[in-house]
Amino acid sequence: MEDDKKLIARILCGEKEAFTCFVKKYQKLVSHVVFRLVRNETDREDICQDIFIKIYRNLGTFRYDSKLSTWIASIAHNTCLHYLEKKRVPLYEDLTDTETTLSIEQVAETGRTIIDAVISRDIGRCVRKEIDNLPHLLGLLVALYHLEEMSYEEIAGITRLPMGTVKSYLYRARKQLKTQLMNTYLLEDIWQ
Amino acid sequence: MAIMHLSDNDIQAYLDMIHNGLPADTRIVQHLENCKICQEHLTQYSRLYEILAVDKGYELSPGFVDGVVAAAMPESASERVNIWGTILLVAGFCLGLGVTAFFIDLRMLVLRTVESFKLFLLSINDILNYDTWAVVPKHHLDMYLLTGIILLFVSVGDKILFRLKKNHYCL
Repeated sequence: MEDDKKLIARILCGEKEAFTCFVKKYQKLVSHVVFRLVRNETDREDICQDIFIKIYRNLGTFRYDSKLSTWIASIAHNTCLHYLEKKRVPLYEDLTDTETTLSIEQVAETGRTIIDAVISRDIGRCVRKEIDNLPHLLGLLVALYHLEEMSYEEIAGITRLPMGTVKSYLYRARKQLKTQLMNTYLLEDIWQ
Repeated sequence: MAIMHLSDNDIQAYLDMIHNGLPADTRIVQHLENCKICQEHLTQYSRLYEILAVDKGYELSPGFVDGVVAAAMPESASERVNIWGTILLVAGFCLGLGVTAFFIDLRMLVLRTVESFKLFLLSINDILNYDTWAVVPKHHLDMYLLTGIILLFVSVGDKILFRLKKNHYCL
């Protein structure tokens, strides 16, 4: 927290170097949120850039009521929601199905990619592929909990969902991921 | 009697407890010690947690950081502080002008200023001579004094606010 305070003070004094450090430090977090929620590849980086500009402009208003990462993730989440609203992409509608249903072509395509990934032992890539098949919001929750190591409470604050809902969505996401992975592989490569 | 195995949620709740360094439910721990099926289930979830935690995520393009900094920083923070100063200065000027306009006939003031300036050009001695000022009625001089005091007050306030803002940003 102290490091963040110093970094923010330097940025507010106009130090470009400090802002470069800041972007490098938090680009992963922002990209996790954006890439999970926005599927349009051409817009993703522009949205990431918009988010950092927004953060820069509002940095003076950050009051340390929450962790800086939570504040940044909230801005990223809200920006993505705004983008999805503008593009009329539903974020919560796809949560009504308990399991993701893929077409035969999609299954074949996914299967091929995953088998390739398993052969090349790039486990991360095939898991990511599976996460991409989850509903947007579930993918985001998985990223925030497992990659950003945020608590249920922090995630609830970012997504403005009740903590119980966050928990149950995450349980559902993991169960779905496990099932998909088990269905797709013989699993020796993944589970051993 | 049917054996009650742990549900997916139970196992995930157990792993979350471990993940966050919290004590796990003893009922679940006891069951896991004795049940091979749930142990296998737990191993699979544990592996899933491990895999999810090491995902490198998505890579942004190499020039991303420079692009963001270039887009955000042309308007530096010190400039932003200066903008506040300028805004306050302009506001002070407008306020001063407004007060002056309220109390004094501006047209007359301008005419008299031009007149004074002409006199100034004619002779500096005329300016130094108190008689020149006698052209301006006495009560108008009071207004000038009032306006001057207001402008002074606003500019001092502006300086103080500018300093406070700067200190707030650059601790």
